[in-house]
Amino acid sequence: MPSIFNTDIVVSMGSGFGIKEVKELSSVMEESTGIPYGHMPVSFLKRRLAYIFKKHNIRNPETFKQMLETEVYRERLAYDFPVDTTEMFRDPGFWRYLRSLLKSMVISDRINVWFPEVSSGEEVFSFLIIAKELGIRDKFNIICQHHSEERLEEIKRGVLFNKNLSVNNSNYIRIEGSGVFENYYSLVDNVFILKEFLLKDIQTVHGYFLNNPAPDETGIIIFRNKMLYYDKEVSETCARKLWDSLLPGGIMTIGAKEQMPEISGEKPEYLNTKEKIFKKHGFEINWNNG
Amino acid sequence: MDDNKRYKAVIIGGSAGSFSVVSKILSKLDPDFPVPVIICLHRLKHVRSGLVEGLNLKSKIKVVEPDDKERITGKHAYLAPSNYHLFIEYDNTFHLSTEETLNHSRPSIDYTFSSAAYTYRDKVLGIILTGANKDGANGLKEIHEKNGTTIIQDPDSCDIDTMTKAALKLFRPDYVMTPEKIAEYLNQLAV
Repeated sequence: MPSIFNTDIVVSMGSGFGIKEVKELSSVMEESTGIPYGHMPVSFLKRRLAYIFKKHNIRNPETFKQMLETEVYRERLAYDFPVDTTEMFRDPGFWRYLRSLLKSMVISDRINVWFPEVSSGEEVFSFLIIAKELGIRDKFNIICQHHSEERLEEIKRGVLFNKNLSVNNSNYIRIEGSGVFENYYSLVDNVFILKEFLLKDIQTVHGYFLNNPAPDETGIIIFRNKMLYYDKEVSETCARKLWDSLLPGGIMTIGAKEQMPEISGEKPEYLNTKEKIFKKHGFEINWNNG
Repeated sequence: MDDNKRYKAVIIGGSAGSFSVVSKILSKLDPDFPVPVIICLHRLKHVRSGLVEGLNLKSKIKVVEPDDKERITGKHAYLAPSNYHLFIEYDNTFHLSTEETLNHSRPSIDYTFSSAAYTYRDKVLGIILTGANKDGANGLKEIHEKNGTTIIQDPDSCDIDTMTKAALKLFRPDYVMTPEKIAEYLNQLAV
């Protein structure tokens, strides 16, 4: 049977799928994995399913449904379906502001920094470099959570994707880092890897964050450009769960073009409107100028 | 082509060099232009401000960069934010995405045109302007195939005609027009 995804255009536009088919497939995916695929934007699902069908050489929806029954395939889907973070230090203004915040933190105990649904390491690595340059890397426990074990393994190893290195470097220059970006990684077996001294104390949590308890005592949550891929209902569920798990005085960040939903009838307080950084009322975490 | 059909959106695509053309079109629009104008221009990913402000200097309708899930309404022009793809969802809201670049572009004009074609079908007017790569040509063709209306800027009036010529190679548009004529045509729709 010839695949309906026979050209790159059909794949990139997702035009091989109808709405009914997308809704049916996303519902089956949700049932088999517990991840709310049925609450993702239809236009996104069309493209992503077309991409998955081509990448996994799947020729028809029935085969896909059968494959979803095996754990091995569900892990493969968990690895390939999510959208990678585009680059390190994406939105340099955000990272400059975050750096000034970290600098002003009054840190007595170590602080947990949670990256829920972290499909690739760019945001984590950016945070690690900033903390290192401020001389406070050892003040943070990094918690990375995702439903793909292989993704988590890559982050733990510090894998950097070649295609983005020049963009990462340009962004690093824009945040006016105090070091040299090339000094933070090396080439090991043809893969660019973040240097080991940055990677200590990274804890990985396997599992979808909405279906599992949040880590205790979280002071910082980085959740940028993740709600883009959910409808309003699930976005609100995500925001509420993350906000509720944040320590008083802690901060949460979302993507520059995302909207923070109301939580228990109230809009969280902005620390920075443009960069969408929010601070929770209270003083368990303290800031000199926050 | 039925000029009297009620359009749900006008979609304009062009590369960074089309800024002055878009600005000219917006400056000539009727201030009560009732149809949402959705603009996707190639732009530098790290420069997040300046473009909207620049367009607002002369535009007769308000230009904004939409947030994700924002509702699309008339009397507004919406500009695709830098480093995000801009899609139109079936519930008439925007969906932004950080997916891979398409045609080396994020935002990609093909993506915006294509999603408009699927959402609005024959109720959309797609316009492609001057540009230096082929992004947008396939998406505009999709609008054409769904019986939407298509306008290509006259290549003779383009600074760089790669984008418009790529579209002309793929299909026959409803109109080939200069920027002045495009503005006149749009204002007729507002009557």
